Amino acid sequence: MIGRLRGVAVSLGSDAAEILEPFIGHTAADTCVRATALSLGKTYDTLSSEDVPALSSNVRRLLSPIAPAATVTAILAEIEGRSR
Amino acid sequence: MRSHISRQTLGISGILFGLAAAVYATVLVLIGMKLERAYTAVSDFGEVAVVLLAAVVVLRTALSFGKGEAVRRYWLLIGGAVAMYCVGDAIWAYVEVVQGKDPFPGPSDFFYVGQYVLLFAGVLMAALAYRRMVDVRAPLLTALGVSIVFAGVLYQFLLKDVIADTSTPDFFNKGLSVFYPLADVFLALLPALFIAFVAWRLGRGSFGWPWWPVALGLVLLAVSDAGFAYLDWNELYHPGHIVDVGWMLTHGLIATGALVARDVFGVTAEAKVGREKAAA
Repeated sequence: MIGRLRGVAVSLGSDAAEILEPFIGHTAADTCVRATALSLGKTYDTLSSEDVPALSSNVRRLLSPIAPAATVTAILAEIEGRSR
Repeated sequence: MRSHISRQTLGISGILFGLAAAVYATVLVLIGMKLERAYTAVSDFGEVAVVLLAAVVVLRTALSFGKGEAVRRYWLLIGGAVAMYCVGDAIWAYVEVVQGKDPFPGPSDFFYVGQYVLLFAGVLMAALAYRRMVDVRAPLLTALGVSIVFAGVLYQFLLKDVIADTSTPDFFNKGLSVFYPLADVFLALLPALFIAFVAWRLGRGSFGWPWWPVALGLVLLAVSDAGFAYLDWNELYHPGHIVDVGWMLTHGLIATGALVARDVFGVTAEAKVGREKAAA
């Protein structure tokens, strides 16, 4: 968990999925985040700011074949910015 | 950072489809005036102009991506395919209009065949690029199954007669007459369905948007070309037939897909200005 915002629990997982969804759709975004969480022995909701490097690496690996590097970097910057 | 379709995309696509419509309308008028050489020239060279513009758009898109990037590779293949078709069309137009000869079979076929090969390679590569994100096996198998069904229909209504025909002694002529309809199914329709089914799995995700017009363009290519082959074989084709528009629309749609790719990846000038404003 990252913290609470206006009484609503937010997490790195939900933030990352929310950022990815407009680009790759809900299912793929959700799968990407859950797969990262699983690889770290965590769940979607327990991903924390210390997991950002692993999440970024996984997202970059998934997006690099389908998007230019600059676009992928911009998306990752948004995820990393939201995690602070 | 959110994707949107730029005014530039709408404008250039409008020019492409407007030009195609103008060419076809002019051809119909000239047919009505019974000016055979004129409508043949306008039809042939008009198509070259539309496809040339489409080739420039797609190649420019490909080159806007960084060297070594996967997206650059498969858009270069697709752009190369459109360029090959353009060269083939230019040769066809020259032979038919300037030299007054039948262009089939001829040098233009080398480029038409090359187009099919490059289109297949580019679109297949693009579809497989999504394999880490979505299941691509089911889309591929579904596309293959549908293509086999269409190949069966094509065989039943066209190919078996072409193969059985003994009045065409030229092996090259007959070979191409069989190749093109099969290429329409397995090198155009199959990758079109594959990438469409893959894009479908992205839901509303904008990284799937470019592939919808590309897939539609390839389906149109398959339908137009196979349709032309059937009509021509049964002596039902006439200049000005609606299938004539198919090839121009095909490449217009592929170019539109390239323009949408530039938009969703944020490489257009509008997107850059938007990012700069958001950062300020």
